[in-house]
Amino acid sequence: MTLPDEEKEPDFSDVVSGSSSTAPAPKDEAVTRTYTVVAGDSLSKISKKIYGEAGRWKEIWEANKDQIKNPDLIHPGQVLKIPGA
Amino acid sequence: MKRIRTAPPVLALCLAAALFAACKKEPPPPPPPTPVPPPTAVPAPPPFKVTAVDLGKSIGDDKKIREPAAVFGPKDTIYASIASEGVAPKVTLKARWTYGEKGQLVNEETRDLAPTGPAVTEFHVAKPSGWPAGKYKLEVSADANVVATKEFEVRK
Repeated sequence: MTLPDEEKEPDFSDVVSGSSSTAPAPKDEAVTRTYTVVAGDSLSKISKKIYGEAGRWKEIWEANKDQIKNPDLIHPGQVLKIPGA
Repeated sequence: MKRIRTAPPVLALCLAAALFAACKKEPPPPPPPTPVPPPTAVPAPPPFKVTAVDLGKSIGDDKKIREPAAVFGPKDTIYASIASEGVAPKVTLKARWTYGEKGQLVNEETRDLAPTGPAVTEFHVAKPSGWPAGKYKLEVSADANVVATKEFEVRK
């Protein structure tokens, strides 16, 4: 059964985001940014959002291997560490 | 013949020493110690706090919003500029963007900072396929405590 159009939740998986600050980052912190997975996300989509290129998804996977066993399977609400961003 | 007794030389020496000691000038008393001012307490640095959150369509080099806005178009990039003050070795700022009454998650990002004074941090979101019209909310947290919320709208 499909929901009527007005009841369907919009897809925000193509949202591109970023951040910057005039404040310095904490010392000795390799990861200073996190991203929360939304419905429709994949690691390559997140890589595209964060780095501007989908091909860096492996960097995100490597930084989150403690919680992502299968890179094709991530879940909305997961908070991923974003390396080098 | 009457003998005249003279003081033995040792006694004379003692007398001379005593006289010398009596005449010797007392050394001046040591000057009173310079009073040491009590240690001035170094004021604790002000704790980190968010002082303002503004929304707009663009930011300047200082990361401040050029022109605050509460209504956006579908193709706009939406910027949130978060002004803060205070010092912290580490603080985690989070921007959580949600859509509609149900609060559907649009985007959530954090950034770790080590602020040393007044600072401005910006978060931005864009949707190349276009934002759905409706009401949105931005929630700003510092170390998991919500410190500000902003509502805005996207109109076709």
